[in-house]
Order: sequence, then structure tokens, then C-alpha cells
Amino acid sequence: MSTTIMVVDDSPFASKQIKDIVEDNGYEVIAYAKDGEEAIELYKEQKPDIVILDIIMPGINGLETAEILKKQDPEVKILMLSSLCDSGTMDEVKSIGVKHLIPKPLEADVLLASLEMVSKFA
Amino acid sequence: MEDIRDILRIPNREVLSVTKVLTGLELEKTDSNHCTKEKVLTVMIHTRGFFLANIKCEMDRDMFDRIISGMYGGGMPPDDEQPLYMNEYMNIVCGRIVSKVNALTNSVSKLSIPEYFGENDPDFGRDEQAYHILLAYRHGQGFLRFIIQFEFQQNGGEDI
Repeated sequence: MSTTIMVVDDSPFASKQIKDIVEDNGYEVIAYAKDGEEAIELYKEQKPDIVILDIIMPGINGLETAEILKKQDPEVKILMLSSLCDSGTMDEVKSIGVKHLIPKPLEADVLLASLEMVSKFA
Repeated sequence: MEDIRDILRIPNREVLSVTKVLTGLELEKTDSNHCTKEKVLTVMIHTRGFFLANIKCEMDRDMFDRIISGMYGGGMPPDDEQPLYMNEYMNIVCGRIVSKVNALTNSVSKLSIPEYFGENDPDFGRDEQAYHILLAYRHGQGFLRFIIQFEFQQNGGEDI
């Protein structure tokens, strides 16, 4: 059975890129959300194995969304994405209990290796 | 603080490399005087923190189509998605610029959500005390320019 994924990103480019990369590699994207509010609702309904979550989004940003998801479900597995990928951002991500952050533009091998890490160790 | 010249080199390097990765386009640096024809489309982003900047990206329709088609892998996405592609292009280019500035200066700066203005010109005014960078590029008949106005806010990290 495929590992299921929910993609949370306001960019249709990023959502399409992720789908194209992961679906040939044993994952199935079962839900897309374009902001944090939608992600919180969809997570309850769909219960994906992994959430791929962009940080810079309108409304509730990715960090706030991750905090809410972790309160709802402490076992949630999250992989964060951001174009702003520096030590300060990594510190913020770690401070909310998420261990994985990858930079945009996405590279297929980095995304797939990170998904494997998240599914095993997050 | 690091040498300002090292910081000034970052935007051009990141525009060229990110554009190549995202779209496959190899932009050619050009004189900004070549970029004054017809109406332009504009997308803008702001930063806050130590590196406090307004960044405006302007392009003609030809370049708009080239960038989006490159990101889409050929062809064009639906009309209503095209501005979102351009916002993501801006988000990634500027995210990389700010990440590099943060690393070089050991500081913290954040990025706003990009805003697409179409043919409207969101003039942010000129601050004579600020640094200014104008980067102009062409690809085929298309042109693209980044206008960056920035300053360093010594206590900028505290309000993030």
C-alpha cells in the first residue's frame, strides 16, 4: 500500500511539482490544501501518513499550522518546505518539534530522501 | 558587518541560478535602458528584519509567458493560475536572496507573501538613504528587471 501524503502550499506550481515527483515513487497524494485553515480541516478528514507543508502562506502560516496539527495529533509526520531556508528558519522549525525542512526550489532526490526519513523517524 | 560588496553580489547570482533551475531559461544581463518598451507586469515582495527591503520584479508579457511556461514544463497553466506561478517564482528567487544575506550577515530577516499587480505599478517610493540595486535581463525578445531598495536595520531581528 502507498504512503499517503497531503500537500499544503498556496502555489499550484509546488503542488504539481511534488505530485509529479512522488507519485512515481511509491507515494500517493490524497489531499491538497492551499492554506493552513484548509489543511487543518482536511487532515482530520483524510488522515494522511505525511503532511508536506510550506512555511510562507497567506493566513495561518506553515509554522502555525504545524503547531496546530501537532496539538491535534502528536503523531503527525510533517516535512516542511520553504524558499527561506537558513539556520534561523531551521531553529524555528525545530522549536515546534518538526525535524525536517527542505529548500525550494525542490530537488527530486532531496524530497524523496526526506520523505523516507520522515516516514521512518519523524 | 560583512563587506557590502559581498551582499550586493547576491541578488544577481540568485536570479540567474534560480531562474535556470525553475524555468530552464538562461537570462542574459543587459542594460536597463533596453527595458523601457511597452507595458510591464509587476510582482512585489517585502522583507522585514535586519535586511529590510522592497523588491519589485517587472517584466513584459513575453518574459512572463517564458517564465511560466518553463515552470509548467511547456504550455501554460490556466489563466487564473498564472499569477500564482509568478508569485512562486518571486517567492523562490527572493527567498534564496534573503537566505544568503542572512547566512552572510548572521542575521534574521523574513519574507512577505508576494503580491502580483499585473499592469498596475505599485511604486514604493525612493528612499535616498537606502541602497538600490537595478538588475536587468533579457531572453530572446523578453525583458525582466529586479528593483531592490534595502537598508540594514540594526535591531531588526527583535520584532520578527
